Amino acid sequence: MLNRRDVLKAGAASVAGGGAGAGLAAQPPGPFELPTAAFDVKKTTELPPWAFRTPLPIPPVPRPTAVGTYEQLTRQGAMPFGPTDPVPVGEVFHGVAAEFGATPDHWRMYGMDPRLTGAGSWKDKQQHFGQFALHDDPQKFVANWGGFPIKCYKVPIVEFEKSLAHHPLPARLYGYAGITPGPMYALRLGQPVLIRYENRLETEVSIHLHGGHSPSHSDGFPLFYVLQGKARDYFYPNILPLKEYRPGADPDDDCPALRKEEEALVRPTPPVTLNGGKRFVVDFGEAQSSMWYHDHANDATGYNVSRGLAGVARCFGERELRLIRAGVLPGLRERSCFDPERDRLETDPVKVADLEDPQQPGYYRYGKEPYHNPYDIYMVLQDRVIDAATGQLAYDSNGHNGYLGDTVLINGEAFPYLDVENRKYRFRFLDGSNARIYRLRILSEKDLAQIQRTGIEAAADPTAPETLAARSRGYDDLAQPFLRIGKDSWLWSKPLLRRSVTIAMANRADIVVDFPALAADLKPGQERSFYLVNTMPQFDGRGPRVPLADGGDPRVLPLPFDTVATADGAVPATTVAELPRPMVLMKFIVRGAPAPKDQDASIGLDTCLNPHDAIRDDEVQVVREFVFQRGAGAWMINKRFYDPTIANATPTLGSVEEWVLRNGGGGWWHPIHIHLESHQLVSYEKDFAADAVVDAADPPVQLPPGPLVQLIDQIPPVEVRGLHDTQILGPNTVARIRMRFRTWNGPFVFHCHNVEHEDMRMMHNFEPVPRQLLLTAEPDEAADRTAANTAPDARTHGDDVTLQPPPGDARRRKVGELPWEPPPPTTPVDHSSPRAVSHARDPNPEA
Amino acid sequence: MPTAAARRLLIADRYADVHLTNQFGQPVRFRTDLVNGRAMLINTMYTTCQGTCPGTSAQLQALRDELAPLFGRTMVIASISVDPERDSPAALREFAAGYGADRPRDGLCDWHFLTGTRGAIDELRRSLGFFDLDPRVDADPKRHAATILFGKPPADRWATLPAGLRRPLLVETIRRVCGFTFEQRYGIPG
Repeated sequence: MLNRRDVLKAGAASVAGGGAGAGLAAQPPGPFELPTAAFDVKKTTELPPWAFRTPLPIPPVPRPTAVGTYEQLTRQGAMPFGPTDPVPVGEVFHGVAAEFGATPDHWRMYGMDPRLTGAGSWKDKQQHFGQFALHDDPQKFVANWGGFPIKCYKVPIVEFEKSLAHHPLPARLYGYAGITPGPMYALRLGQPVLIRYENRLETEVSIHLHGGHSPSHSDGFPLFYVLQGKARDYFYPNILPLKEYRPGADPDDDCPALRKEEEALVRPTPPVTLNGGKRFVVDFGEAQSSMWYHDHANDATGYNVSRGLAGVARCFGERELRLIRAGVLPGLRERSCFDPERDRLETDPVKVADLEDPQQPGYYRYGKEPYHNPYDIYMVLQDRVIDAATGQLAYDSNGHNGYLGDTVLINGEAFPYLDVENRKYRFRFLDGSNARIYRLRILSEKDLAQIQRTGIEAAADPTAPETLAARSRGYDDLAQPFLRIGKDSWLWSKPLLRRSVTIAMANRADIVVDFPALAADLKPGQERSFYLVNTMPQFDGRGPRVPLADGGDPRVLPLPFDTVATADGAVPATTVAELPRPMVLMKFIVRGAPAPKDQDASIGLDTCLNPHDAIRDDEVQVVREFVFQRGAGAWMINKRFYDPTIANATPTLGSVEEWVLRNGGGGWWHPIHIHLESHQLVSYEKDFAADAVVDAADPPVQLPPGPLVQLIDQIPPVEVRGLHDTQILGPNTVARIRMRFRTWNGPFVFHCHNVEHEDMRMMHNFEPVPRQLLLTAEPDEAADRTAANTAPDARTHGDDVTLQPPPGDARRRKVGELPWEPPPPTTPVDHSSPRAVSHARDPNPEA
Repeated sequence: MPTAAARRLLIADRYADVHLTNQFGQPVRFRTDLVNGRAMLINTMYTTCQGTCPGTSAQLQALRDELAPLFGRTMVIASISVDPERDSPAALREFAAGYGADRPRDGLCDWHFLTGTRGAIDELRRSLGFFDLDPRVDADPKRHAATILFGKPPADRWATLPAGLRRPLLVETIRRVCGFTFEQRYGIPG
């Protein structure tokens, strides 16, 4: 058994000796044997002659096939998915979520009646999921569930051809509706959506709306496929989860005025006798903003996503719309809050011709789409290797460390440019790459040219010695400032002034760039260019690190936060290393004089955006630990490969848990994505000394616990308090997160969002289950909670997530999940060993 | 619809077409002879392994039996030795005997145990993804991955799974990825 010092010594020796250390830094013997299809590191720094000649594509917004009430869409003869599709909702091969037409038993906790079905059940939900006031009319309340009519879309998933990165030959790609990125949905909280995805590919797919709060059936569970030639009706209720109604101010709130104002804008559900008379109210803080959707099919995610199965969705809640309408967030005020087909589908041919793009039937004309906003641009960053000989994507399904590309496509285009007016813009960035982590910065044309000539250190300060710390400081001196307003699906409570954003796979970063501040002296008719660059050093799928060739140290593993070194050395300077010459991604061309202040967005550092309820210590009921590690040539969690038929954790619905996410070593980076709901970060610790160990073992040697440095204080409180759906777990890191489990039962997954790791089974199921304690006042709550993870409780997946006719009906099992899936093991399986938390409980919690 | 003009770049195009010898002493060119339209299962092993190889080989034997009624001879298994200096064709045949692959068997698919020069083996396993980013791990046959690579070359679909998964999960996945018909893939009529 090695002790920690031996491991450290071995690591140091191998680096000092040059042999293994140099080998690590050199390009690994790659699997791309064809020279034309090889990862070319030069492409990441050298600009092709055609760079910045193509405008940034904006994904088109699809028109619905129907907009109607539950009754209208489900009555005899209705054709919700267009005139060519006579199949009613839920009658396709894979059916529709059970929650569309029935009420789960545990919703009794909200006062609903599970015996109701169909329209009766729908009305019951409308009455019991709370109500909120409209952003433009505080007197008018709509239901959280189905407050607006249901919108229906039909999206075939097809193979198509498109030239990538100006290659003369088209690449064969996969696309939702034949485009990549897929159609950009415009969602409204309170407005349910049904999307019939029809699979016309050679492979099976499963679609995950990332960052959403959706039923299990529609969440892209890896085995809930859409098989070839089949369809599934994805049901997205777009509801806000409910929270217990507690009038009065929260002492930890950073936006008390906003909260007070909002008390008049929600209506709690009627008191119910169950649960000791708790009342529930919509949880505004959970309002999603920047979502995306992508493939999630078991074992095929990496391949399917790299071929193009990804798209974005903007979601609007009343809180955000109030900010847009008031001109706080960039936009066209009322126009950017308007949906021409919110309440009914336009059928008048003249009006349809006005709405619809004649070049792209089925999509809105740009400018006519719902929530049209020319100052809000969503950008998907995806890196690819493109074969020089054929123009095809060179995907390596056998590269288990993660697929890294040398060409970054933004909304499908390499090196695009974007013309912007001289005013504030909201940019939403999505890291849609398989394995690349970005640190994004904005540089002026002059500074970029200087950095490219001399490297960052000399560009920032010619007299400074060439050190990694100087490099990072240099970028912080030169990079343009902007406001960061959110992470993942959610806006933060307040903006933060930043000069960089770090995003891992699946992370979103929402920023507002104040171009008038960056180009204040620009006159009418003049223009000035700025560049979006990536400064994160990364040369293989393992994760960012600074290679020797760059004068750095192979053991330097950058931090996943936009942080700087601390004077006391708690955050070593080397950990913030960045590329000496950045990867340039795209160009912004600012034109004309700054917009007058009163016509521009008014957002500032004090603006309250989206406060939410922090999870308090005494709410946590169960703690679980998950170790993400390499093992047996693949990827594991808690030494288990993903088994889709068992539940690795069964949290109680309505409860709160704290999960300890631990990186099992070896220098890999694992962005951990947890489905179903947002989570909150409470601790982020790192063992810097362990970074110095270049650990070759498989599985990596589990180091004895070293000195963990708590980094949570290095992250601004606004970011810590913000909501996350994907938590990046850097090397030798332990993160503690807290999460509520609400609304939906059934299986969900959490996994590493390095999709090659995910495909190689770094994934677990969790299945929130209702337990009696929620429905009655059982005294033995602790026993009920901790007797959780045995197989009978964890049914994991079965018919009950699909809407089915009642038992005894001959049509039963003709829709729904497939009977051929492997049976679950009969004996109880190892699980994540939940421990009840013993903390001093308030003896009188309800008082 | 895709046109014929677009040339495809198949994942298997990158698999090294090296000269190898199987357990019967027959010459085999990896890509030409084996990647030819049949579904494929590939693993790495060596005969003196004290670790995962016997388990993986037993798993493959069971898979070969279980998948035979579905795939017949439209499947081929390739077990590549990562210790080619020691693993002669005769040694491979002796090892294969333990798993019923020392001679062709009626109704069961071909199962090749392959050896060759160190250079050919290294080139092949790297092209297949059986390598580690760390050169020290990569150079040590004892630390080779206990995984099974499987795919259906004509559809350009490949996946890798740990050999230690429960067999029903492996069977389900291999059918889904390698199956040629809807029924073969999903066990239900299309």
